Amino acid sequence: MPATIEVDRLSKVYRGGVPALAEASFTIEKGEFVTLIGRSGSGKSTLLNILGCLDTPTSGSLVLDGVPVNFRDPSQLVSIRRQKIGFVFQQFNLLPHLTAQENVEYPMLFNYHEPKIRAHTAGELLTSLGLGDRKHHHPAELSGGEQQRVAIARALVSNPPIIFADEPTGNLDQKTSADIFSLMQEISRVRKTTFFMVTHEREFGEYADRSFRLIDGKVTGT
Amino acid sequence: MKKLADFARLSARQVLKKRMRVFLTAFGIAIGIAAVVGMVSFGEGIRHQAIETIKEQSDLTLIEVTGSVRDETVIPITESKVSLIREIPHVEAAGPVYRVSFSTLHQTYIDVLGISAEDLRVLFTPVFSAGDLYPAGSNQVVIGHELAEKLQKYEGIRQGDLFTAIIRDYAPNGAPSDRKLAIRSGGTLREREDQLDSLLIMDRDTIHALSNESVPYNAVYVRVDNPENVLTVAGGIQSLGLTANGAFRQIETVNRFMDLVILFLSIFAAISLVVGALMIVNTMVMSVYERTREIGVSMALGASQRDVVTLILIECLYIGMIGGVLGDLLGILFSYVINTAGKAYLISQTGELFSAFARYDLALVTPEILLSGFLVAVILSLVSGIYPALQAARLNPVEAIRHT
Repeated sequence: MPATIEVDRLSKVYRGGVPALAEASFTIEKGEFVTLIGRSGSGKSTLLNILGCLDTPTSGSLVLDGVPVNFRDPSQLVSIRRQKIGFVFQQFNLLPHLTAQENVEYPMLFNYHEPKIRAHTAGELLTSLGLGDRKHHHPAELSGGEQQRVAIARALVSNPPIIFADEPTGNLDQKTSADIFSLMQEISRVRKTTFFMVTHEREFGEYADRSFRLIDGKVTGT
Repeated sequence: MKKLADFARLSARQVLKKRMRVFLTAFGIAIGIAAVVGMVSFGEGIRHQAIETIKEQSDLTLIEVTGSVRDETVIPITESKVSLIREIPHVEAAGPVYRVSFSTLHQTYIDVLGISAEDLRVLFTPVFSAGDLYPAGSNQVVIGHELAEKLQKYEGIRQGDLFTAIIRDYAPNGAPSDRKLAIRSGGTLREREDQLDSLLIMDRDTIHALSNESVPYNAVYVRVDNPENVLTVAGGIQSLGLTANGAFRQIETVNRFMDLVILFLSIFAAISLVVGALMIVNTMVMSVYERTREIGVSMALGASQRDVVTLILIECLYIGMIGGVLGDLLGILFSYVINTAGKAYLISQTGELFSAFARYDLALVTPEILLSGFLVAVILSLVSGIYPALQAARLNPVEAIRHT
């Protein structure tokens, strides 16, 4: 299997010399479902933000889907976010004034697609995630689980090879969380999409192909 | 371009979501635009009234050309210059003239215009109360209405009378010598309310024959085909090194003065535009702050800094467009009030002084003023949006997503 995420000695030290990440190195293969487990303040979000090209490391290198990331080139970072990465957030972060379908179409506005193609792709994705009858509802009209499904559809809509999820079940009850994990696992298996998920819930580690643990900025594998 | 259309739809949703805030902000701009539109319309109304009055009282298509002095050299009006003037496009006729002065036996001073009968007919279209034009080379004259009354009153000279004119010459040593010339009043003009009323007009060749040597013409009268072409013809005449004067110069003076007046009125009115612009900056800064998380999420989902700037500026564009339309409507209303209540008040207070305004609108709203008002609103809104847009684009996506 080719590597989709290649991390080599990534470190991040915040201003004032506070270390958040210490020489993290690992490789994740295409279609793998990986979880990163760690306590609050262990550096999980820092690592996820760097891997998602939202933050810059102090040192080290990163290759995403065969493309070496140049953190000093903002246009390359935008291009990678558009084509290689999908995000799922803990707070769902759907735009409240857009319908479920419009939220899913949203990333395709920046990476221009014809409106008909956008609508068709978003509609099919929502239907495949069991939200065919909720397309035209606004986020406030959806349950937490439904909102997170919309967010997953939004992350998938550009067909990226990698999806980063930041505690995607943190705001959901146990049963809905299990459903969301199952859904993501299924998507990873069927679409060969690499999932890198940050969570502090160990019990969901069983869904993962591999789990990393982050303690005081240091990554250890299982 | 298609991406821009999608962004326009997206921004429209944002604007509709906060329609009351957007309306109030746009209203701030609209008041400024209305003030500018009203003030400029008021100035344009006065300009229009002044120019129409000049047009009614003056012969706009007549240009008087005289010689000029350049680099201490006198540029005279010669026959070749007259030929060149006739070749200028839009010139219908050009008649060279001599200007001299006579006096009567009782020392009544008379200004004399020497012009060929044909040129007088073509250039001035004379209408006679008695008699007719003079034959070429004759001592017969045409007398203007006002001068005819004066000669009759003080000299007892009537239409058809033969009378003596005295021509005074000066020797090189400055000593004066008088010659007598017998002339006959062959025609009297009807009142024209122009310079011909006070002139004695006779054949140009007769005047020329009175001088001992060849002298250049004193002036050329030029008739232009249309008032709109007068400035072009005047420019052509000036390029020959000659001076062009006429009623159009009054219009130029009025235009220059009114440009200045309108500029000052606009500057005062524009102060309210500055307040409106600050309202837009405030609204958009607030909007960016409230949408910090949304902007961060958009960046994570692939929005570039340019995309964020574009989205914010399109919202400002909408505010400007709404403000522009509202401002134009308020400006029309403002002008309507000036033209009804304002005009009635002004005329009642000033009496005959501003009675001419009874026929014209005091404030003149033109499509150009409305278009300018709309464009000023749009441009001002876009400029006001630059700072909030850049502020949004410079957000750190990680911090923005965490924003609560």
